[in-house]
Amino acid sequence: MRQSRLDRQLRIEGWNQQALENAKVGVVGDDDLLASLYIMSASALGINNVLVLSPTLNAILVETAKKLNPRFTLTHLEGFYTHPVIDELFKGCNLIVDLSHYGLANKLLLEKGYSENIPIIRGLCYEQNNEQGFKTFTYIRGREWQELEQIISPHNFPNGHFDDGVMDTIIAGIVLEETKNLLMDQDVSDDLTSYKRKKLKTSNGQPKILVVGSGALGIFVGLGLAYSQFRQITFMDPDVVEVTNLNRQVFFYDAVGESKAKTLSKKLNELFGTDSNAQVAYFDRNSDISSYDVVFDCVDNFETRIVLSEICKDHSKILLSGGTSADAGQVVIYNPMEKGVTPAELLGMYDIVEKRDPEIYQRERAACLYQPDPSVIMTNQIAAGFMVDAYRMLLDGQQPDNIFYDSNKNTRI
Amino acid sequence: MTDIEPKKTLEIDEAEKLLPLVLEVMPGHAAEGLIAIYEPGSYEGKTLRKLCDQTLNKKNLTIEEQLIAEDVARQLEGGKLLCRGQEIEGTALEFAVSEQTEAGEKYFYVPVRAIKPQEGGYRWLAP
Repeated sequence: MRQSRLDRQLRIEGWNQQALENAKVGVVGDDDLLASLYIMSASALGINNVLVLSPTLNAILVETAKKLNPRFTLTHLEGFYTHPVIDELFKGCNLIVDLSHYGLANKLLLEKGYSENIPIIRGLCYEQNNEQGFKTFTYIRGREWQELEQIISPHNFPNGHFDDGVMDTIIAGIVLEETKNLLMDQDVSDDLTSYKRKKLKTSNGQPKILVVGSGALGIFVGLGLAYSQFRQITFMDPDVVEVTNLNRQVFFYDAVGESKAKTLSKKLNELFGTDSNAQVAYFDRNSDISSYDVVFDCVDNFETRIVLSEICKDHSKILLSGGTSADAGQVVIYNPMEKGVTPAELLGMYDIVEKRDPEIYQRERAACLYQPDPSVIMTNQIAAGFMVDAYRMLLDGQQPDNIFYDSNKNTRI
Repeated sequence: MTDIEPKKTLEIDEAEKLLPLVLEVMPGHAAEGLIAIYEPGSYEGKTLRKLCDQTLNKKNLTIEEQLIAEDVARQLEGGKLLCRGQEIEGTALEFAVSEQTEAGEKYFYVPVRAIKPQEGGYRWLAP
């Protein structure tokens, strides 16, 4: 079971699952979603031992973490990191993830990282003047750089702070990527990764949203939409859940063999109060999108992406297209008001598909001469988060940029 | 630092039209790419795509440049050249931002990246 559950990431060259499973990871958090989202994703990735110091955790996400990974052990200490004496709690941790929003913890942890040579991975979201955004940085002794000034929260003591479930989802993904890299002795970014945009106005209204694809991207798009108070969502996917999906498709831990679209819709309605529904179907040229205001493309093949691009262009619908691999991802936006090119045109999908001879395809498929692409949770939650944020920006009258993420490069975004 | 910058509309005054153009073609998200410098008068009438082709076809590359060129070529197998996430249709000046060296010399800079789109799902093997 474990082997099957982790199959898609065990296929990655140089992957060291044991390093993840044997590690002990310390986390310092606040009373918000960020630490809980990190814990859930870490469990899905197969990190088995997490110690958290945080006043509260989100019960739904923690429960999901436990159900996803039978070996997962969470030690939760309720409180704040306000004195060096608390250091002892983190004895034996391979690294500490600092997701808190008070400067005292940030400084104490950097001091601990320096004096004990423990890596500290920092992630936070912030609101400043008319701006909202996030920053992440990996501190390793020797990196006493100016960037450190930017990752220390302005308030020394725990305080009310800006929190956003969508940005938290992205931060948790980037921070988990760094966690994985450190534990597997791979290169970590030495850049400050940051993202910012204008503050969003409050009301989103209730647009009708179609999410095509209910795999890892679709799940995190659904979660981001729920956190953004969108309710009217339709999930479309013809597939059923397989064991090998469970290293990244976090809400399917008890649904192997069942419809992905139906399970996702049910889970989000039960756990997050959405009013979503499911269509167990392929998206094709006959699919009717006339009643929707926006379409999220969360599929896993260029052929369907081309159809989505063309249908959305024909019907003048907003399209947010996401795509991921094990270490990279992109988000491309089609806004009919801008009269720009579609995702399929921008990314040259027609050329790619044209080079695929359909006859060879059929032969390969018949002879099973294909293999699943490796896949992990991080790139999916990062791309999905940016897709939802791009949509919120469009509704707010802002112009989101297309985003290209690459976990192998210093300049991640 | 990797901020997502808002789209900029370059306002070019008459004096700035005489600036050199620095074009950098990078593989994916690499920090460094192949750099070509075009003097005023040599780039204005050409499309950005044409300038990219010229840059990628440069001869007498150093070993480091050769490695970058190979990396760009790998990305372009099923990938495309994009500038700030957009197609590179139009002139270089439409994508340029004005920058200056530490010595205060101004120039136009255009970053172009070779991006391979991610698909997910299944990888088809050669027959």
